[in-house]
Amino acid sequence: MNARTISTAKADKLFWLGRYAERTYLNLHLLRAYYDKMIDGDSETYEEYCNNLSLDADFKSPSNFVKSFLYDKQNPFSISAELEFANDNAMVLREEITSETLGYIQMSIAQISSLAKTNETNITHLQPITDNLLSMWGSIEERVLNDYALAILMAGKLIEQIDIRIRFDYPFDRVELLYERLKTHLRYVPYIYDVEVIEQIDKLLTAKNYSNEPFYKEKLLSLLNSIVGRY
Amino acid sequence: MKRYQFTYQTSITFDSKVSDHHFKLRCLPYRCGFQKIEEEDFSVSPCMNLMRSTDGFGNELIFGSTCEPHKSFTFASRGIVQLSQHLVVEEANHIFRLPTLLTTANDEMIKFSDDVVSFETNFVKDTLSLIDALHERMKYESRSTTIKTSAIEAFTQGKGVCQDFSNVILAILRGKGVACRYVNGFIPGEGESHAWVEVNDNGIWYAIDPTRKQLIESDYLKIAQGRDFNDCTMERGVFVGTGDQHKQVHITMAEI
Amino acid sequence: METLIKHKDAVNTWMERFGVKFGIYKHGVFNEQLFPFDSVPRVISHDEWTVLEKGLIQRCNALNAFLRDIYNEKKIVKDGVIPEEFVYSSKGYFVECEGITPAKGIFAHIAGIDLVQAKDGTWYILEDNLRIPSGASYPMIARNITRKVSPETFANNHVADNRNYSDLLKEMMDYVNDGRGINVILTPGRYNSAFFEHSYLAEKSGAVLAFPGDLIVEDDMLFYKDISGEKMRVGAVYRRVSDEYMDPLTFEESSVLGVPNIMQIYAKGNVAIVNGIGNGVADDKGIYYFVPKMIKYYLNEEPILKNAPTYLPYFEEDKKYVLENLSKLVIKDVSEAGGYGVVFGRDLDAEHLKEMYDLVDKEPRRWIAQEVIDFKDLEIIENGEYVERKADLRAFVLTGKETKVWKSGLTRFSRNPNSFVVNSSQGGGFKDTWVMED
Repeated sequence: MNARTISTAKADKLFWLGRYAERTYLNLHLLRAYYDKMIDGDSETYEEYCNNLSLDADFKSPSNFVKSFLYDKQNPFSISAELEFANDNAMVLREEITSETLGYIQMSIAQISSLAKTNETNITHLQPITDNLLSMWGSIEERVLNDYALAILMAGKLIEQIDIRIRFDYPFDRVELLYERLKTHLRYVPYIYDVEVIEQIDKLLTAKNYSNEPFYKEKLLSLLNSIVGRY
Repeated sequence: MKRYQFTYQTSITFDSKVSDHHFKLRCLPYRCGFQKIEEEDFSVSPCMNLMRSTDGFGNELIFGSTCEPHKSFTFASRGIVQLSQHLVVEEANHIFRLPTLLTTANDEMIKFSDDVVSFETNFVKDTLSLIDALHERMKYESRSTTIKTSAIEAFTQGKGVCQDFSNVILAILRGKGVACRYVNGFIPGEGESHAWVEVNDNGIWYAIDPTRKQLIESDYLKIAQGRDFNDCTMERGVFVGTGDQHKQVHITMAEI
Repeated sequence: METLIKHKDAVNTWMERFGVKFGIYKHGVFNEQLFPFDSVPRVISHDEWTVLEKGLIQRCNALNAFLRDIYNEKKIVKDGVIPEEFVYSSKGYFVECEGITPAKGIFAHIAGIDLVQAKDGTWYILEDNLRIPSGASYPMIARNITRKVSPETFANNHVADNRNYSDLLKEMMDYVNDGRGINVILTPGRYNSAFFEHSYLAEKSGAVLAFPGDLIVEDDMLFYKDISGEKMRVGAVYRRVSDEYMDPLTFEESSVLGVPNIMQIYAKGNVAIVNGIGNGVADDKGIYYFVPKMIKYYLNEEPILKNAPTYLPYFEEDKKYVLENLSKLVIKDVSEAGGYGVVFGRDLDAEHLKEMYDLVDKEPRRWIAQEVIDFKDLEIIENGEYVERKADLRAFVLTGKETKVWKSGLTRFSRNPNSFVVNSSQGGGFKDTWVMED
């Protein structure tokens, strides 16, 4: 009857579903990349991964690292924990995102739980989760009829993409492209974001300013993470 | 018939700001034959959203909400009413025969009553005799009870205020199968609200004041009726916030 | 049907995928688990269903008439058909509902009527649930899955499609809504045991799933608060919050699940609440005894469906019989629900029997007693073997413009071979219920 009705609480859930689902997807991507580096014996490479995520952690061995980042629910950056966070939000959004969409998160949780039982460290078994998450976004695009909901989900997804790309020193044009996309989506839902923060980022995020200097990155990330949440 | 002017005001102050405050108030005269309302006014502050209604007992309700944070909340009413003798011809709903948590009698109370009256023919006369006897057992003492004190507790400790005298009488009457109800309202003078009872005798409701030991004529202003105090609360509220609240009530009523 | 059973694992995988779960609190910790599904359906023939359907419609019409009467004129009490203490001392009776006639005069929009079938094929009504009967979503989604997994089963059997439950729900809500505004389903939240159902029915019926705090009473109307600051008027609320928690300014003051002052606008007829407030007075285990009398009283018809043979110790004659035959009867505490407070006399040793005897003797109003029905057990598959288990059927009757029975139902079974208790809150499982078209 009113395809555009969204409560504040639901907007918040949509935003965080977008962020956590995308964070899981990106972390799986990074795990694959770092795992690949470690094959060549560069066993300390995970330290770089932790530094970029601002994590203060010491894993005695690469296999501990993989286990912790896959199955340790106490570690909020683990795939298990991130999927649970995504699920906590998705569960209460069934009627917005549809049961079919929710199913991709549910199947991912079933997959990681079954791998956790044997502490599986061969990451090829994680591929179904990556596939599910891509399918979930496809399902969202197909099935979410509410424009507000779609824009909020996309805003969450894009903020997560930008965040990770800044942390891992992606080139400026990659970040800028995503940032412009983010602004396009935010225009649909003026109620959820802070215009002043956008203005500040606009000034800071330029080809001339962009650098991997820690202070700059920190400032940019902090602004990025305070765009949404005004509601 | 007499004419009275009344004013009523309750001010609540909160230790810290509260928000999303929803309220339900009963502070307007009850609508019935013996109360004719000439003038009536009310105000609630701060308030964004105010509505009127009546509840299942026929009591006038003011309800609404204030979302903005605030530290004080005031509601007031005033008016001019013509009062005549408190009599209502109306069959009693069965619920007025059933004890509530506040109006349950124990064996001791029933025995106390049986020693004084029989409740066989004249309920009004018997109620008045019972009240006289009760004053030998219970003395009036300000602040000796709270709004949660039951009839049994008040009877056992042998003291209470107008609400407790009413509860004890209601409890015993209900124990004897007599339909009766709790009433709150105003009496001439200055101060707080008063409580009394109505007893149904052969399809007629009579008003009796257990505290002042009398059949009520026409100088009481009825605000609300119900099974007990809980049906007649003048103010109920829920809000978001912590800290204590302090309430001040001021009522005036005078013949004009 | 055999092919369907063969695909049991596939069915369970799909159930997991759709998050078909049931929340349980154990030792204060919330856990979600799959609601165990058994692939062997309960099959009800067309002819058998025709009788059940008529009987259920009749029963629900009488129950609605009773609720309208009891909160208004109380003719049935005045005429001495039901003793007044059974009405007014019921925990489900709310004096706050006196004088209220809800939108379109309907109190019980969604009734979950629990039945059992005896070995001789007779159906008995076990319990009426007129407050928040849950469970319709489970057979609905199970059918969706079994049809995918085993299409040939459904091509070869003419089973009435039960996935229309949400359409029946929407049709009923639209009727009582009467164009006032949107339909919402009010859930207490994610940690309610039936949250899956709330969200699934919202999805399928197109209602907005509202959480506590999303709804507000203003200008004598109910509104859903939108993030844009706009307020959408709500015409009908299918609330999954119980009566006591619906309005903190009328009932339990500490409730944060309800909507402050919703009772005032409900009384004014400005919003429909599904189910109505105060329905508990009609599904009370004590009132159950009087339902056949209600049918005669309000509809002037003979009851089509039978109650289980029931005794009310409140009546001297019944009390005498109950006390004499305690060891062969089922004793139920009228104030308990969900399979709790049910005692089988035959399970009690001498000491406990004596205890029960004294309880019934001392507080006759608190108990009802029933003859033990010789259940027709249903087959389930356990570890690849067919075994028989106790089962009941919850039929769903929806009352809007007309009274309609959903052509299916929730068949619950006990997984414990020695137990008669089938409630999901006590670990039971469920089956699909097939109503045959011919």
